[in-house]
Amino acid sequence: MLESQSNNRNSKHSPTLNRREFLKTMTAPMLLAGAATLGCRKPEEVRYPFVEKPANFVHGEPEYYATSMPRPEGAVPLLVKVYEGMPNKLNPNPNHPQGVNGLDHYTQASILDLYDPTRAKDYKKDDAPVAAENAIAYLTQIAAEKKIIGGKGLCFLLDSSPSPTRNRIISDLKAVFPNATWLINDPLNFQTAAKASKMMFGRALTPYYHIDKSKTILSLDGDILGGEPDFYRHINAFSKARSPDNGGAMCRLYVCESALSLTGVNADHRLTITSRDISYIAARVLLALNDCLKAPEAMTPLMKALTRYAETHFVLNAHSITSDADADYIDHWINVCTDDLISNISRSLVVTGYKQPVMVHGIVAAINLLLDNTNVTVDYNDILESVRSPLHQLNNLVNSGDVDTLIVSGGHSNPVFSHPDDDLWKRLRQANVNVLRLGYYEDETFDITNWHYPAAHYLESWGDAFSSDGNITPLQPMVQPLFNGMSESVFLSRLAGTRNVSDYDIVKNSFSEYVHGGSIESAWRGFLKKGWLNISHRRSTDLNLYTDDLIQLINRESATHTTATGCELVIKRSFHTDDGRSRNNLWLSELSEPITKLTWRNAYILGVGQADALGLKNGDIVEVEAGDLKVQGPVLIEPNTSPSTICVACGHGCVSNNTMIKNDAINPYPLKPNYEENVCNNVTMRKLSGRINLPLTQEYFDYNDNEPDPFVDLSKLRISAIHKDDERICHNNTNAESPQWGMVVDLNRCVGCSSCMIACRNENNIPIVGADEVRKGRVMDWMRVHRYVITRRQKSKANDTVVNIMLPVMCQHCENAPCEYVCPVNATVHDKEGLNVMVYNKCIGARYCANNCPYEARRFNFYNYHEYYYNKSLYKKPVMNEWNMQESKRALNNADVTLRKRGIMEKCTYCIQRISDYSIKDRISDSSSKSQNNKVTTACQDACPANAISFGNISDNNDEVAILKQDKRNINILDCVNTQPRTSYLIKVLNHNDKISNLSNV
Amino acid sequence: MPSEKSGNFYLNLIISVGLIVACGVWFVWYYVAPEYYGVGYAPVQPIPFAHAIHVGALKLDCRYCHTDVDKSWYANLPDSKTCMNCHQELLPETPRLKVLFDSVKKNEPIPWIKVHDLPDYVYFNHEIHVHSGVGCVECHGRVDKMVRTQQVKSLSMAFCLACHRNPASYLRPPAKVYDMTWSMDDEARLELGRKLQEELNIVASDDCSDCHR
Repeated sequence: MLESQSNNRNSKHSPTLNRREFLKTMTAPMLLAGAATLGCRKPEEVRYPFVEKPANFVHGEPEYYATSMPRPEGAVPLLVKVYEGMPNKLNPNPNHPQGVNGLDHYTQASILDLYDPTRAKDYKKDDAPVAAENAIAYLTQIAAEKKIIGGKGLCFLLDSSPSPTRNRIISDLKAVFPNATWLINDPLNFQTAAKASKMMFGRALTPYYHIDKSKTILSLDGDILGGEPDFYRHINAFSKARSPDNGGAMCRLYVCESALSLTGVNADHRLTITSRDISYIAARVLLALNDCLKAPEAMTPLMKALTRYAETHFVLNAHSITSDADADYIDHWINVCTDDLISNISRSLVVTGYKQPVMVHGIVAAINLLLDNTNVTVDYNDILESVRSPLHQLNNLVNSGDVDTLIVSGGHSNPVFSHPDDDLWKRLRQANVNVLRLGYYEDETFDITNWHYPAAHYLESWGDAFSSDGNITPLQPMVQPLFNGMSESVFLSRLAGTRNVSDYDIVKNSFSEYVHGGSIESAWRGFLKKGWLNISHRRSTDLNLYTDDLIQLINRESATHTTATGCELVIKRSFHTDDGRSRNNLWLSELSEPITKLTWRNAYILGVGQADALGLKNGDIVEVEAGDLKVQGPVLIEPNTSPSTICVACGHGCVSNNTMIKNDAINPYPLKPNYEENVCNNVTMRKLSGRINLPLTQEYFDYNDNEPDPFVDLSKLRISAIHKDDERICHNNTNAESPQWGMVVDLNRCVGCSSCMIACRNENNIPIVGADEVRKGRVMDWMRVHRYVITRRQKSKANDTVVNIMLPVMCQHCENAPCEYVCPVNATVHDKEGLNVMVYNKCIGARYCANNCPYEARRFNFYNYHEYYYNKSLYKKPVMNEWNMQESKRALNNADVTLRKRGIMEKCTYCIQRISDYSIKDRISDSSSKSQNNKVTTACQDACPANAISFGNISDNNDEVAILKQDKRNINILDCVNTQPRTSYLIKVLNHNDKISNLSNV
Repeated sequence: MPSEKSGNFYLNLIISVGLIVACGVWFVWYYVAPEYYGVGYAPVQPIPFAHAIHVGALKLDCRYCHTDVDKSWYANLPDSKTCMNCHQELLPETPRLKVLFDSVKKNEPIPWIKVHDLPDYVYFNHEIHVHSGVGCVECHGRVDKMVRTQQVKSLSMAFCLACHRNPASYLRPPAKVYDMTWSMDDEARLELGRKLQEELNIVASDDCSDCHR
């Protein structure tokens, strides 16, 4: 020891720092520190009151306005919280007749796009900013030039939109420019269903599902709870239909799919099969139904065609019907499922999705018709959109030289990215086509744009939109355009030749068409206040079936069908970026995808068999070859993927101005076989050297074997109590004077959509940490949705039960809180309302509490995520990322929640700011005006489309939560450690069909 | 040699002890002084507004200007139009009010400097205090006598807790909350406070979560 010390001292590199040296060296810093503290008096703060305060405005109190988010499939009705003039949080509009008290994650996170500092901010001509007036004058000029020749050479490329106003402007434009061409950008083929109904019923209609009325649901590769249009509404209906309490009327969900989706996770029976074989299953189901039910005469030719198709397909693919199961099992599965569908005739539902071709959609429409489901569990609504020519027709136009001016409208549509036909865009440039674009970002399409117009966010513009149930909802601006953006209605109206028109007038004009009798002004005010107007339903009931086109399609398929070899590549909608439109939304980027728990990027998702064959592990780089294109990327193994399927999410790998988004993700759009297909056949995959560390938030999916099962079969539920209560001593006060808060999460309702996580971030100012920090396990979410695969061994392996559980975990507010005992400074303590509170200003960052928390509910601030001004002063470190500190983004911070600094522990507070607000308002209001409905809701509860989260006072026996806690399904997680959590869970109820005994495919 | 060394040693000792004592004195002087808590803080405002005239002499109610004090956590500053209600007619020429007239003319807000500024991790709510019978005077002092508004109480956590742990001696009848001059002798007040606490059901708890979240 001594020797080594002396060696050290003498060695050349040793730091010769003794106490004296240390003191000498430290003199200067200490003096500086002393001088600095002298200047550390309180900073001066300035307050700016109004010059003229608006009537009824109260400083410090949020206001709520009704509006809606226009999505291609329909508007999502919203109630926006506006704090001191800035939109702060999106809530569902509880008064909308659609009755969905929740939002999906895309909508919930869309408010962040408003404050995105990387938005397009300038009017530009050929990359150089121009004055807005000049750019707008140019629109008028184009309109005048083109009007003379009736719009010849003019081509409009639009994004799908549910706005009646836009539709009205389009008809105006069509009148002015009769020779113009109209195309629509629909990169994920959500319009396949409309094409199929055009084929089957002679009219373009969109199916509208009533899942809550269905008892048996069969999904043929349709991710109705995750990726399909309107999925948040389906989640709501599904959770209602899954209620085990309404006398055994619980619905049963069968799913056939290639890669595990949220629908698959929530299925009672799941069949893993490649996407290309789904058409075979669909044909078999229709044929089996035909055997049992008397199909109308008109369907006979269809059945013949289908029989031939099923045979061809089976013969060709007998060896390669690529599923985990064998052919016998598939037969058995189809029969059992069909029996179930028949026994619930007119209360069943068969759905498919955007990944499937028109043919499958056609067969599914026929199945629903045969099962008498049409107009009961599935309605067909008229489509507003009159433009339906797909984008790839632009090719012909460019070739024939019929286009000289291309108008790209819609804000979020990015055709160069989603239709990466380099040749087309190159020829477009060569042909000197003048491109005018209304765009939200300066992205790939910006590169081919001559005149760029920055688009306004939907929270900055007036508008209107149909919700998918056929009601009309308003879009109201919550704030003046932050970056001088322009709304689409003004952009298009200018092109129609209208001058000096505001979007307010345009929208009000189209609204007046819906008012019959009475004052328009009062109807308009009522419309804005309520947030919706009921107008005549768009439902089409008189449907005549035409099978000729479908038969032709099936026959063609049978004739040209060849043996599919190799893998298929399935391109799906991204959980993070949608089709690429939410590319810069960092809340979505960092949200862990519910199935794979991947954040920030995408990966090739493979089954175990395929991975083993190539010796692949998570993160290994592979090269996927489709056609003549090769795209490299990492793999991620998900055992429930079909052995011949590679699944990849689109919308990644794009150019971004945001430094936090790396350009290294896979962009699968170039791999699409053609514009109208999402499945690519005959794909080969090759392992490359190299490996990347994927930013996953949860790695191990197994559930603790010592825990009680978090699920039960429906049949078992009716018999007896599930888990018997141990008698435990609860030492905490259940003082009746103050409310005792508690939460119940119903695992049977939760589908795992993760919308709650976004709501929590928004409400509680939770920072984004970036992919590198996620890899280190430093993600800051106060709540996360865990996915567990639970295997319960039975006597024979074939009867093993495999269940997927989505488990939302937040701070459990334990009454015996392990974190409290270990805090050296009492920074985490209990309050009289039973909350485990975290006092940030006392916290010294010892992190003992996080180590002692069995639920991993605590998050530590490793960096100053919020302190934007550090980067402006001399003290530049340690700031994590610039994005969190952007000035514009700070307007989104919730003023009622502290911004945590570096070195501080934080966790779920049960939204204590809302509790506090509630108790103050409750005290002040006299008992006569106290509304019965007035209660505290947490942010996650507000956001949940499935109504899985309940929050309330457990000491009040009439409270919903107190009642739920008495339910026999109620359990605590990690009950064995006796933490006595205030959050409990209602276990999942499975509705298995006894005839399919082998559940290993679930 | 030894004597020299010891001389050095004593010199060092004296300097070190001196430094330590000086640091101690400075520390006490700095951190225990009332200025550290902001007592006496009276920044120069853009307009030399005197509460002494408006509240003391003219007897304006607090809520004439601070309209939201009983509706929200925040006791707002008046908008320029509120000032103009009177100053349209009164002193329309005075240069001291130039900032106000400019504000209305140019539609620009007046940059008032905040006097009572709590740390950002403290969530103080005016609404509940005003409704519970805590007078403005308790925290803001005799504003009606202030020519330039200043902070008179420390507004430290100990200051808050003194009342939260013993609210009875700080309460007053709700009708007198905005009354600057209301007073009562200590014993009678304590008795009244106890009665009010019971009547109004006032729970002034000392949970961390009451102010910190």
